[in-house]
Amino acid sequence: MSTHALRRFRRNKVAMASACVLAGFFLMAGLAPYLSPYGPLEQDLASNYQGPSQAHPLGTDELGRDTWSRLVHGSRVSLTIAVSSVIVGVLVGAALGLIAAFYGSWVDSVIMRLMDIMLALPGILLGIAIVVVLGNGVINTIVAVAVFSVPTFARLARGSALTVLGLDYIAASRATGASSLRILAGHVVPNALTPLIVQSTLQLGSAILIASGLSFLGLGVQPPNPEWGAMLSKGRELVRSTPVAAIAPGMAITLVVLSFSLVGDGLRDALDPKLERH
Amino acid sequence: MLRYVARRLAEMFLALLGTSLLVFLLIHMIPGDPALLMSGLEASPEQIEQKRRELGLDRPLAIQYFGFLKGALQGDFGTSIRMGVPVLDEILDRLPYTLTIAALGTLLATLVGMVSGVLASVYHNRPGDGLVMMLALLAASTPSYWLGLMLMLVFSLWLGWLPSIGIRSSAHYVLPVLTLAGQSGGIISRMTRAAMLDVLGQDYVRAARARGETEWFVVVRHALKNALIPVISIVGLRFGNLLAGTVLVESVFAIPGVGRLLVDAVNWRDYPMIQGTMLFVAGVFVVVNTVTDILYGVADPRIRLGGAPR
Repeated sequence: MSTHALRRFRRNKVAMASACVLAGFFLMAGLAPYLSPYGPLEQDLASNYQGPSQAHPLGTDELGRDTWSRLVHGSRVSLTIAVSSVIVGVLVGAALGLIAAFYGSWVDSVIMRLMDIMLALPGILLGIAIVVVLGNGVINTIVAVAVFSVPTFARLARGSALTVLGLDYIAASRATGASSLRILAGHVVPNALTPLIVQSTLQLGSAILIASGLSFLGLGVQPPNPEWGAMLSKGRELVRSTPVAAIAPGMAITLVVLSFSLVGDGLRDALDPKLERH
Repeated sequence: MLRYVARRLAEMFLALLGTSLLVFLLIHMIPGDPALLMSGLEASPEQIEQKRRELGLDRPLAIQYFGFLKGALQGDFGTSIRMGVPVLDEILDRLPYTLTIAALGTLLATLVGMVSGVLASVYHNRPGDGLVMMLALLAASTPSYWLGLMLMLVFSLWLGWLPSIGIRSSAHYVLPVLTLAGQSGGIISRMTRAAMLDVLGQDYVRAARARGETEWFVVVRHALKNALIPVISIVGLRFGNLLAGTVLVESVFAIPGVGRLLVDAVNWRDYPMIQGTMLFVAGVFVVVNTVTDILYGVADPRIRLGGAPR
């Protein structure tokens, strides 16, 4: 990011505040063992279904596990899934999009029709389909969410690559004998980078929503793993017995998703000042 | 116009073919013997062998796919392993719940989203605008299943106004519909505001204002009519998404709809049922999107004539 863009981003108070919230959550994930008084799987059946107290700031769940400790460790799982699935999604998606744009003709058609079919399915349905094939668990949840992100990135990369490839300086570059690889790496990729970075940030929010939704249904990350969605899989019982234990994970998800959206919007405004801002 | 509709329909059939192929391959990509998967764990070797012949697993994959497609087109989605009933019958049995919730959810989301979006655009850059947009983004960021749990906590457990689970009376529909509408309402609100601001900044709106027409007349008669076009397409897309979103909401409120059917089928490894529900929901999603696209073309001649909307 250029210093100009950085300065523009800093001036955006909402985006800066959201960035701080996200930094807080990532710090929480990094320091999880130091921030949690109990182990995330530590059961204490004698003190289950407790409300908030000094010993358990957010109460305990049906097995007497400390909600705060589980929430803190859950940030690790949820953020790891979101970040790794988006990284895989953007790498695969951008590669497919660039190949489609660069080679054109039938390669383009085949790749983009496949992307259309994937986009033709609602995200949660695609996620369930992949989990049906691969089985559940953390890694498979990452794969499911990554596959869901691929078409979005492929379209974006193809779009920005096509705009650049039509410009005169690419023709000039070709005329001077630059190789395909050089044109891709030197001209096409750098131009596609900005929209990809912005979309990745926005996509992180969707990734958390889909992953936690799958886990809530019992199809993604499995209990006792304290993923935020999985923490809510016994939601109805929790709501009846210890509402705090049901409120906390959902609030964490909402806050993180909201912050990713606001930071993404802020990045877009900062990186592309030409865009008209309402 | 006719050519536009024909092209959309052709694309729809292509997408339907693609999804059916995807769903068909799903069962074949699972490690293990599809005949065993399709006849359940308790099946005898003879039953499995019969299933294998029935499914034509000894024949080439392409021929198997056409058999599957032919069955699906004739309404034969196979038989549920767990329940022993035809998959389609079970889906149609449960469809009314899902369809009602999705339709009411879309209606509510559209109504609230459009009204709040228009108001935000009219009060552009004033505190009300910021508040509405913040609420809309918050609604779009809240996981639906958690929103459902919270509504249940407040309205059925604390206040005791509404029933919490099941779907026995019309009061049972209130919380699921609210839950489902939340996310889409937020998205539609933001889209409406953006579309309105786009239109309100154009010359013909300025001209209308200069003629001395009242602000509300300008907003409703001139701006809203044109801002509606992009909003229609989002509403159509949302309906499809809400149909799939019932998977989560039905789980929260223990509603025996199609979404719950799919999740149960996955948990029970009831593969014919998984195949059937997936194909059904994805098919409806594709058809609804096509209908939206066609309506979009009816509303905006620029689209059906091949130009891009500005």
